[in-house]
Amino acid sequence: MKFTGHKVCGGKAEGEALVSQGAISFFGGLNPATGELNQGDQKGKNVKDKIFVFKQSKGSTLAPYIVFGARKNGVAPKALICQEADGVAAMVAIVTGIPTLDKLDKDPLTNIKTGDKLRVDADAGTVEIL
Amino acid sequence: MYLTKEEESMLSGKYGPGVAKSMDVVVKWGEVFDAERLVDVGSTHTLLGEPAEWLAEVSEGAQVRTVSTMHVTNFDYENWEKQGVKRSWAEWQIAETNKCVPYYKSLGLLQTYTCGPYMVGNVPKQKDYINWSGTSGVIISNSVFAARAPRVGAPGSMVTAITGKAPLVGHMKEENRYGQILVQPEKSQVNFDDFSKEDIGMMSYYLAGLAGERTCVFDGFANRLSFEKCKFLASPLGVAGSGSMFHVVGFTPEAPTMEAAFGGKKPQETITVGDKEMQAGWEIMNTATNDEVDLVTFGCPHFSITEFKELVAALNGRKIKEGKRLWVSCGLDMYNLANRMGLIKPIEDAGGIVLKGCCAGPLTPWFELENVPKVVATNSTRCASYITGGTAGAIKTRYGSVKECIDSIVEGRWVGKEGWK
Repeated sequence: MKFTGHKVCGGKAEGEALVSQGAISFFGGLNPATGELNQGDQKGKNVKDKIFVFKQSKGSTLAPYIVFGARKNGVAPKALICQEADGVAAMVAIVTGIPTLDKLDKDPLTNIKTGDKLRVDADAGTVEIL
Repeated sequence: MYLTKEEESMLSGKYGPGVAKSMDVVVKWGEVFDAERLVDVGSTHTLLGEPAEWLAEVSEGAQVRTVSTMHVTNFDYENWEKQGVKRSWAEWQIAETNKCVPYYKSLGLLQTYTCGPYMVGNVPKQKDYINWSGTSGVIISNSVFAARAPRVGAPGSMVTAITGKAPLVGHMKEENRYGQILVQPEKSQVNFDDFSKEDIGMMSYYLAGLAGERTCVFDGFANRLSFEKCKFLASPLGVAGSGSMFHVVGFTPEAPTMEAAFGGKKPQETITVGDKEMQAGWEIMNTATNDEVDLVTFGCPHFSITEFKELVAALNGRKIKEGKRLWVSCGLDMYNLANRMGLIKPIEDAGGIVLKGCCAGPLTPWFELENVPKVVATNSTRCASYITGGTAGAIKTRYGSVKECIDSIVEGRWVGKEGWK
């Protein structure tokens, strides 16, 4: 299956999907030392090297600094896909440089399953389930 | 996106690498939201917690171009021992912040360390474009000052401080500022004019959970609201929901009439607030199931001089029960004023401490305290909610007026209301 979407931050990545159905606050919700999620339906799972698919961002505007820390520690996701980026999710993508897409033509939360192998080309605005 | 010649030259490095790097972030931010152009921004408020290497990059050779206040630390950096923060944690955290302080100084950021920028001279005027981080300040600015503020991640405010620019997005655009939800009192049960600021906070928290990012329009306040009531109306909206502003018909600048508040459109939804809704709010805030109280904290958002007076009057010369704690948090400037007014000593004489420049509740590293409280009482829904969330419910909360909280910490057990009224 192939999706087209809107670029939030350019770049390319391939990896395994980790899908969270809820809104996420990376501040408090992501441990930047380990990459482990502390909150939500994927609590206990690790985002390291995953393509993290989530509904939207919520809560503290500190989120970009948390994900920046995770990237520096080598435990950040390879790419991000969300339904619709707000100003906080956009800053996460821009400041970390993690390839990020939103507004896919098909809902990523119902069409992508955790464990699916994905190819993301954020420059072209495409996602493919391999 | 259209850039002026001057903006192009900022991006291409005419003003040095820091401005160029910051402008690159501003432009990318605008592109994500298909902004047509950038606007000049005169006021920013930035959060601490930047990675030092990122700050080094965006600040290189740059000076801020805005009135640029700074947010709180997460414990009192001068009095952490008195506050009871573990030495290892306190020293590590202070060292982390100190890595950034040289950049704050070289940029010329105002080291205000308060969540109430409006109390230290960062007061936007109607229609001013501003870029603040910290949702309670953003909501007050948009609603009460009628400034134009977007919701953006913290780095967005820093790059605006450095460039004086932001893309025209979100609530900065006139068409995004109208209300969607009408809030009215159930007149047979409640009168908004009789609500204390804490009642208002509870109502606002309850509504925010239903409103999400939509703007609430309150109809039913006949009297004008004090600034403290405005704070308590504003600050829960970005916690239980992701709201950016509110209107009060006949009071806030953009809501002289109902029609103006909704931009001539019909509300998407009408919510009536009565005893049932207020009781629901009270129950979310009071997670404690017995009468224990270990610690009372005030100052979320940071205490004003009016609140200091209210607190000292509530203490009325009494001492808090031995083994119990009373925290009050405010900015350094407010501390100096309160001290000059003789309002610090009565709190200290009672056994309380006034924490300066820090958050005392939402950002407190609760599990890094020498003595973790079991139950915290406060008059702030924002504070109670973040304590519950941040400790995964391990610390229980009590919610009530300043008087209820003070009476309880003097008695050593909760003696406040056991229900919303």
